[in-house]
Amino acid sequence: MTVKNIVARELRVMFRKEPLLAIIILAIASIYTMFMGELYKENIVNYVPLVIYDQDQTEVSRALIQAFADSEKYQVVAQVLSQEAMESLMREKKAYAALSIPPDFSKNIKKGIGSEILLELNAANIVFANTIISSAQEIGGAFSGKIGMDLVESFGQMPSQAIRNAIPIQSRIRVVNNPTLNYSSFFILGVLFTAFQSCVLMAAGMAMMNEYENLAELKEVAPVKVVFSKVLTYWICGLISFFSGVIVAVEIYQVPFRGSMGSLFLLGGLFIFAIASMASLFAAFCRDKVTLVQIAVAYAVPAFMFSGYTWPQHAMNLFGKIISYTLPLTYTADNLRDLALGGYAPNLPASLLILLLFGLVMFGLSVMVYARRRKQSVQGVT
Amino acid sequence: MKLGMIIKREFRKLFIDDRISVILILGIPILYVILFGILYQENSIKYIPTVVYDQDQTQLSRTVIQAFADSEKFGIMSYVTSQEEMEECIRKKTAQVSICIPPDFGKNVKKGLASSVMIEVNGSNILFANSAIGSAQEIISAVSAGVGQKLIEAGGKMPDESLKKVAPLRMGLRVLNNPTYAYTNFILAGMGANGLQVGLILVVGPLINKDYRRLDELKEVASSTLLFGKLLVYWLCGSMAFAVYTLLSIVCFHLPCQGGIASLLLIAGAYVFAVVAIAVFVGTIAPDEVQAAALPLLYIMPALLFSGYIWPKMSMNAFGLGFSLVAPIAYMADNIRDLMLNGYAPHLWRDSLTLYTAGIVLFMISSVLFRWRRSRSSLEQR
Repeated sequence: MTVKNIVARELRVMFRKEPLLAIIILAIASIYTMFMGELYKENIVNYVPLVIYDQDQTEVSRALIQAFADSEKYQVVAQVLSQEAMESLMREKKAYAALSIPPDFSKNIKKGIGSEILLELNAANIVFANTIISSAQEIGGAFSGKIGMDLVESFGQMPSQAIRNAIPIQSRIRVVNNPTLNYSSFFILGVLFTAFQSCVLMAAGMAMMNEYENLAELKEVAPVKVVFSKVLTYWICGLISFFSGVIVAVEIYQVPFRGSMGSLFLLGGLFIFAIASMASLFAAFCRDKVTLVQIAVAYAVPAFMFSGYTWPQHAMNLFGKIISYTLPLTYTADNLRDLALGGYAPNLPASLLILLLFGLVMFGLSVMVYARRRKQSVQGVT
Repeated sequence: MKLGMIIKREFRKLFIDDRISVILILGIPILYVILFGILYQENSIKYIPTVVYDQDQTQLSRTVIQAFADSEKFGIMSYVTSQEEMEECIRKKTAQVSICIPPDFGKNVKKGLASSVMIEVNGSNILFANSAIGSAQEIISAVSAGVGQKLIEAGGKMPDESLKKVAPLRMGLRVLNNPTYAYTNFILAGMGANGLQVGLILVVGPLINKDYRRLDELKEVASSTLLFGKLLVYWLCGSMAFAVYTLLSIVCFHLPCQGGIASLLLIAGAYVFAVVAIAVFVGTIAPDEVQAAALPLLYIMPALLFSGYIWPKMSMNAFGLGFSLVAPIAYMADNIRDLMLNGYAPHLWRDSLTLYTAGIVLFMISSVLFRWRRSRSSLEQR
């Protein structure tokens, strides 16, 4: 039997006998991408419910409230008349932020004493907290600058001079790669790779288990050929699945892709090789297919979290870093995002090399284990 | 006493014959909590690699840089002397943030012409970007206010008065529930809940499905009694797992626990009940054990992301909301975080009730289906 025959046999199994395998390897990555695309369609968190407690009720305080209301980041859900009512809305989660303006706010500002507003926020969910803090500072800062300008003008300075004195240093922020801090650009590709990894693990692992369950069938064929054909079949199917996932992300959900096709192909290809080889080794040590599936599913979430894709490696402790370095996803997901958003991944060559080595080691071990098991089983029979 | 018999049998099976299942149910959530507890131990992203391009080299520019260096958010990696080098650092990802101070910065500020500092941030990973943008703005406006104060002072005003003129509005921030924005507090409870459902769904589904092959063992027992006995056992195991991992996250990872034990148990019990009911349902409809384990792949990973635990529900579209409506974790994770961090969850009773109702309905559907499949298979046997 040649490699070609085994691949054909494998495809037959996949599409006729065990369609589950075909669904897992071909469809799930795209389905996941669609899920995530739908989830993050809004892209940024807007209209955070805000409650206002204005104890001042003057023109200045209303101008400040208006500044918050005008920002699309906030939606004023209520104006309350007491501290208790404000706290209660926060407690009941009807509002996630509360703006409290003290009495004599305007008077104090005009007197030149200055005043303080209080912004209360519910930080249990950090995604809300980030949005609130950065936009509130911006709105408050702009407002303060404007009032400061008026006050400095009252010293007899010209308006343009006054603003330069009131805000002598400005910060200009330029965000590269993902200028709108778009959540779907940030997230979708990583989830695609994670789902995809589980799929390759499962499908290639189950296919290899079929061989372990029936070691005698291919006893004439060299072990390296058997493992190679398996890995090859799932490599081809995996590549199709991977590219369809990327196409869904780019075409339907407008994730930018600025990198070259060549780099994408290399990255995807070597990743699938690494995972398919790992799966074929894995198959040797699983009790049954159910266990294999259980491990593949349970592996997905930690692998994603430790890959440095969301929580950066930079902020992990030593233990976290060690785990992170052992995961193929670490060398893939971040590079994919760099390629997509920046068009260039600085760590790509090193990562490709590591994936290749990882894949080769796994492949070699898998062939060795398979050869040994087969020998044992054939000897056992005779 | 049939129910008692079923329960006893199930316990024996779980703890003696099939120990791996109980290890998975208890082990996966605990493992998740340990892994993520370690992963997020640093709690916030500090010392973001920063590159400085100071074209001014004056006392003022150094003050700005010093302010960044003093903040633990930024870690200055290098000082460069050209725009190209700076861009290169961002491109190569040796730095995530660059601070560029224009020539004549100090001179312009002193002349009263104002000037700006340019901050470039790599937005690929939103976690870096959010953290960097927020604190950069804070630092710059603090330095700016200080400088502005001096400028007005130069006009012959008293220092205190000057400061109040240039920064008339101060913003007090009161951060509730998670004042240090600790990442562990934000995420750990949800990760544990996710681990719990992964363990339960992956294990219970295939175990229920397995019983189709041993139907003659339990011929006299009604389908609903049989399933209910199983459900009770896994409910207990799941609740135990919850107790263990919650205790672990409080003791080892310092997760605050403000809520009462009764409230925690109320929502956790409802959640485990609903999840087990889903697993029983999956086990009932799946054609075989492997598929019973593989089917939930489509549910498990998106469930946490769609639950509103991280990405808020108010920023989801109809599809996302629809998905979060049917995922038990969407009714549990947010409540458990509120209970842990705040001691009070506004939707506790409503959500617990929803989970129990959904669980009961699903369980009834499952027992009808189970009875039908059982009668069909016994007909076939005859």
